[in-house]
Amino acid sequence: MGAQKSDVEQLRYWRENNDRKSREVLDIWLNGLWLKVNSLGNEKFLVLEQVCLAALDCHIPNVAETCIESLSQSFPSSLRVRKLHAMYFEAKEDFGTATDILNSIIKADETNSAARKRKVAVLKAQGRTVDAIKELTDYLKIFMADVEAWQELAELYISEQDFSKAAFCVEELILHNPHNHLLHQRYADIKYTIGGLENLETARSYYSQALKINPKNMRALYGLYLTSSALSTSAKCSSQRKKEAAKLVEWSLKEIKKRYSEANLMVTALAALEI
Amino acid sequence: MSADLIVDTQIRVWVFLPIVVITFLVGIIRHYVSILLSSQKKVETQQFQDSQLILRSRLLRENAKYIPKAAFLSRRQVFNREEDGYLTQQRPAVTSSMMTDPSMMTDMVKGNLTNVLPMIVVGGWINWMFSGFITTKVPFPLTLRFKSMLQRGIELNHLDASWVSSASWYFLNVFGLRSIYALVLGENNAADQSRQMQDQMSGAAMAMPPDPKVAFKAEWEALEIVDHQWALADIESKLIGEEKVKTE
Amino acid sequence: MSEVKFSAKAFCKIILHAAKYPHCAINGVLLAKPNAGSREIEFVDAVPLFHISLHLTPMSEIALMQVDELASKMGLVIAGYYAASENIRDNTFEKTYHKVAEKIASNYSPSYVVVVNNSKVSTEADSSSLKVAQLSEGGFRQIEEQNISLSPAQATSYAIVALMQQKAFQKLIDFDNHLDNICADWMNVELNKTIESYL
Repeated sequence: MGAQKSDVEQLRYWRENNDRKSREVLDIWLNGLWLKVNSLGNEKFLVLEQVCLAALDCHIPNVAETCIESLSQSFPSSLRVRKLHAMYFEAKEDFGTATDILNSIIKADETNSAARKRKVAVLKAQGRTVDAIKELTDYLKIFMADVEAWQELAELYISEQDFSKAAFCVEELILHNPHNHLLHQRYADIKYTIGGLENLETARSYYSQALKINPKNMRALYGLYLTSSALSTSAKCSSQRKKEAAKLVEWSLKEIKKRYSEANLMVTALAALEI
Repeated sequence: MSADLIVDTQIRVWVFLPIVVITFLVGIIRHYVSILLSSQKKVETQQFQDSQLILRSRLLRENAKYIPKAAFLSRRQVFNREEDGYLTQQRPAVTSSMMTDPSMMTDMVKGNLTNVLPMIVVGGWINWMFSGFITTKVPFPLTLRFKSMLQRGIELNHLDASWVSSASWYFLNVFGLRSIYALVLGENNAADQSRQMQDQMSGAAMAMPPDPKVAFKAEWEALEIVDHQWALADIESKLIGEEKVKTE
Repeated sequence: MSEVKFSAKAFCKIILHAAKYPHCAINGVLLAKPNAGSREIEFVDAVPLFHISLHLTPMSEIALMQVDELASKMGLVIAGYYAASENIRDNTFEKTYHKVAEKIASNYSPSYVVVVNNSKVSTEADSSSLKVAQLSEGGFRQIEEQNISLSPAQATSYAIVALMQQKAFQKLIDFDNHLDNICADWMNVELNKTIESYL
């Protein structure tokens, strides 16, 4: 009984933090939770949904099917359960049926954002990245403040190597979460990748901002080093700017050394940088 | 100065407590009835889109300084363009008259039914049933003005205003039991009368449907006057400067 | 008729990296003994690099600098690039094209590109799980399957079965893991020892 309680708590913790621990969730389910699920009260339905998604992730369709059947018995006309049904077909790579189900959900409720996002996922699964991007941009014309969607769009643009559009998406994310150091660092990464003097300077500023918010962000520190060295050796920079950049190179190297010595590691990393 | 009155203990048992219990139970019943009667609020796509647009515009204004100036300017352009910007879209004028909107009418009637009606009915019944005597004394002194309000049915001029009749005790309960309802029924329960009244007053102000044009115009103006000061200008020296201070 | 050999360390780490992040695109580099101009190449080790936003360059540059330093210390050279796509059906060289592969080619020639066949990442992974091509001016010149081998073949097969069953991929550290926590060792010294113990 004691072990069961902590299992349910663990599932709840993963649910609340949106952790994708599909293998672990399935292990808990198959180790005995499936027998005791009816004793969970109202939480039963949340657990069933969570296990269903985990089963689809790990490609164990019969577990997913049982969960969906259980849920549709309790909620026969629920759009949320229908979405799971669509995901089941998506996992079986029956994309036609999945899209049909999703379209029917959208017809029933035009403001259902989950179904629209699943359509994008289906297109992505089929490898139709360009179509997925189009579908997602259409979605964002209506649901302009959906942070998750902007995040996904940024990733799609990066995978298509359309960096300026990816930068636009990350700007939207920054507007929503201006104090998230990862976003500033990601923005800087994209600007660095696009290249050019102005973008390098922008990248350097955003790396610095990321470091200011979270001094432990190693990527931002390395990024600062890279942008400053690029600027200090660039022909297009004024000597004043080059001096400033050189100061930053020195500072960032010092910081990197400090981090590695605190972690007591081999100096391969440092030797590589000093060259 | 009134002499201290001694209240019969029978009053405590047969009046004081029953009123509390009745108010409490009526509240619970009201909560469940309103759940049964409540209709699913269906949001129109256009309304939804508008509210998302307003949200995005607000975020752009508030956090503009964290994105580069060029990015901000191009976004502002998209929102505020003369003809086809997001905020300058032409919208048909929406008549916000209460009487012509059928769904608003039914919502209002339902609201009245579940809240005001029971209050009047129960209050009146208690007044009729428990009239003619004082029920309790409020622990703080009150001015004479309150006498007429709190001492319905008791025509004593010399009675201290702190003594209240059953009807007023009932009303005190209605407002006082709010936190108990929160414990029992969870937050956002329909038995919460004072919240209902607040909602009715501020409802018109918050809802998008009445007039998106007004909201758009307000956002347009607010966006126009934003002066972009990039927060990251000179961040590098701040970063190193900070470090220098730490090591000293 | 180029011949390509993968050591147990190289092969196992590629497969384990793919298994650790089944929902991401991953990439890494391959180290070999310098043997310029020869028709044969043996990849002695693999260094797993990234599973997040592969196409962003700054961290790739840092990683390449560090791997290069390590390689020259060990007398090896970066001669190959491996990648696996996010999508299970994406197994083409064009899809996994990357600037890093070009950078490697400009430093050492001939260099190779390896694409992992996603549907063959399992306990039964063998040399057919990898597609290899030589990268040259004209593009990709695919190496035939019979010219790709694992060395030592039998022992590597046993090793990968055991490693996958024990979920050893959870212990694999790629460069992204290292950047998240610099105490994590991207050279995978411990994992290397585990792999060697099966040979």
